[in-house]
Amino acid sequence: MSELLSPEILMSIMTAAMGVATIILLAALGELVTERAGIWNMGVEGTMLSGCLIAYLVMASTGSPILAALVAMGAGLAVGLLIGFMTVTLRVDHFVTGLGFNLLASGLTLFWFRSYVGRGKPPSYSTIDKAPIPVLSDIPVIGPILFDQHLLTYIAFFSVPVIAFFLRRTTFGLETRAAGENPQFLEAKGLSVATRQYSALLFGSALTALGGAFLMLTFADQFRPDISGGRGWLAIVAVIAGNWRPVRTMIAVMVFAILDSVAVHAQGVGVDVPYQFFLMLPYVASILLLVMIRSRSGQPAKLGVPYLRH
Amino acid sequence: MNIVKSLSMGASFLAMAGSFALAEEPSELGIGLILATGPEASWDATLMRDLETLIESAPHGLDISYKNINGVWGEQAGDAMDLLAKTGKYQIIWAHSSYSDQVKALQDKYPDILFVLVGSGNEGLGGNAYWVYKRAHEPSYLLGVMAGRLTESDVVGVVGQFPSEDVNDQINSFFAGARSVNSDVARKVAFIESWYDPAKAEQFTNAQIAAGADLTFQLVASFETCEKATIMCFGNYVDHGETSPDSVVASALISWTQDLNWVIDEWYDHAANGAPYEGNVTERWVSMANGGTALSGYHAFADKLSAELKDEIAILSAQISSGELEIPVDLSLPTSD
Repeated sequence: MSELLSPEILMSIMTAAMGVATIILLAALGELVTERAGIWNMGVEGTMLSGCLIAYLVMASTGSPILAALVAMGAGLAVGLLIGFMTVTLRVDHFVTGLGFNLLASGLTLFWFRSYVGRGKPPSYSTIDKAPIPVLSDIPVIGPILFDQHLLTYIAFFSVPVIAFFLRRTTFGLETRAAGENPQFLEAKGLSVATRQYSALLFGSALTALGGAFLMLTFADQFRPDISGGRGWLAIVAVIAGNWRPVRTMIAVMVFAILDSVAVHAQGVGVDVPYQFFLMLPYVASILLLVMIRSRSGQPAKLGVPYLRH
Repeated sequence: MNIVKSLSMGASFLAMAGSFALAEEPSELGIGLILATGPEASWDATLMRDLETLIESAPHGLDISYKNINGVWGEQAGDAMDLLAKTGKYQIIWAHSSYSDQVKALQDKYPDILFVLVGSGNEGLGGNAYWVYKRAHEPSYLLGVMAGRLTESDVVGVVGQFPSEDVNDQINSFFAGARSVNSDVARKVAFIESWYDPAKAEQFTNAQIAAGADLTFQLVASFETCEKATIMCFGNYVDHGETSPDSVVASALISWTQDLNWVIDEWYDHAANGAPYEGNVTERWVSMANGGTALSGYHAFADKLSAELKDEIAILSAQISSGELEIPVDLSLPTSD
């Protein structure tokens, strides 16, 4: 057990946690904005999975990670449009729409992947390298953890204050929140609820797909069916555990990521506790966080309620 | 008298006709593959590779075709097997993982279909259910010897899929090989709890590297991670040195050819001669000496490894093949030191 607490292993745990957190954080921030606009998007897992596949296909075909990330975001936009059409325009139940999309994405990505690969070996590629920030990455301890990461990790964490600012200080951000809290108020002012909800969904889905692209481009050199592995669900839990606030959501994501990283390292160093105990920690933490947050929920008042224009 | 003669001639004719019917040789064979993952996983890819090769060789002059159903497990796999059987197109259903519960429910319903169970986690069912096992502990031992000789940190890692008998035996043999030449070797063992998950494999490999491992036996094929960390790796099931020459020293290879031939022979004997199926109820595996497993070549490492090490491996390999050196099968759960 003491080896798990050695400085080298602790640094490795934190460094790895930043990478794991990036995937969930991008999706969680996207979901946060979407939910603040009143849309329960349960299709995060499917959106992330779609982003993974599209990023894989583009990366394997072109070798360009930037193009892969951009096209994956484009696929996310398409998914957002589809979910928006179902939930905002047709006012289908948000949960049914999201869960249905997850099933569709699971099957469709599998079908597409198998069609692409055929009976041959799936193409692979070199995963993208880290982008250390000069000077800062040389700072002892925190340098490698915070400043020797992938570009998208910096972007993900930088997005936290940006999104917090957007939701609290910008007109469109406040209107987006109003769509989730009091859509009638928006209508009374002559503003379109649907526009804000669609915008939030498009933004959120693109960010979620970018999280999937990050998973694909940095962790795996090959796609596999259902590679998102439940990370989309963790993103939703993180938003709830973060009480629909960006900084708290980031903290919840970091708790999951660190516990996940501890579980991985616990096996590697060989602690006396059965490793399955560590594997369940992120999920136990998510349940505990949900229980703790229940009494002081900041859930948007009209979240998940299809809005009928008066 | 004429009536008796006529009857006896008629009976003889019928008997001859019957014997011709029994002796009628089948010309086609359909094989349905039930795969837990799919062709992206080495376990499944090697089977498909060997089946393709076998189709070319046309055993018994058979025109063999196959269909693979990927990523199915539990009840879903049972349904898939049932569907394949119902079509009447598949005379062999090869369930390439732990599917004995599903096969048990179907084997009496389709007595002429030969079912195949593969690997650990199965129950020997007998009858028309045959049980193929794959033990790659012998080449794994040789990889371990290389690891024991090559490690500088004396910390050697293995990243496996699930702890299961046919994974544990490889890991234990690997460390037995390493410690046979270097008693100081410390073990680092991790299971990603999936048959195939590149993202998890990358995380676990990096964790082992952080714990000091300078060599890892990759049962989960995360060679990209080895390359980035500039450590040496060993591959499993397929010759990963061909695709990852910068990191893979050698690989433990498996072949399904003999298993496929055995099963096809059994089916053919049943179909052509009416021989009853006699599926095995205990594990049946083909040793390295008989071609069930092998050690790959060294590829880019051929020039980097010392002649002494290559000679040592060649001698040990010959000793295993001749039976002079027996590698025990150790199924205990491997853990980190």
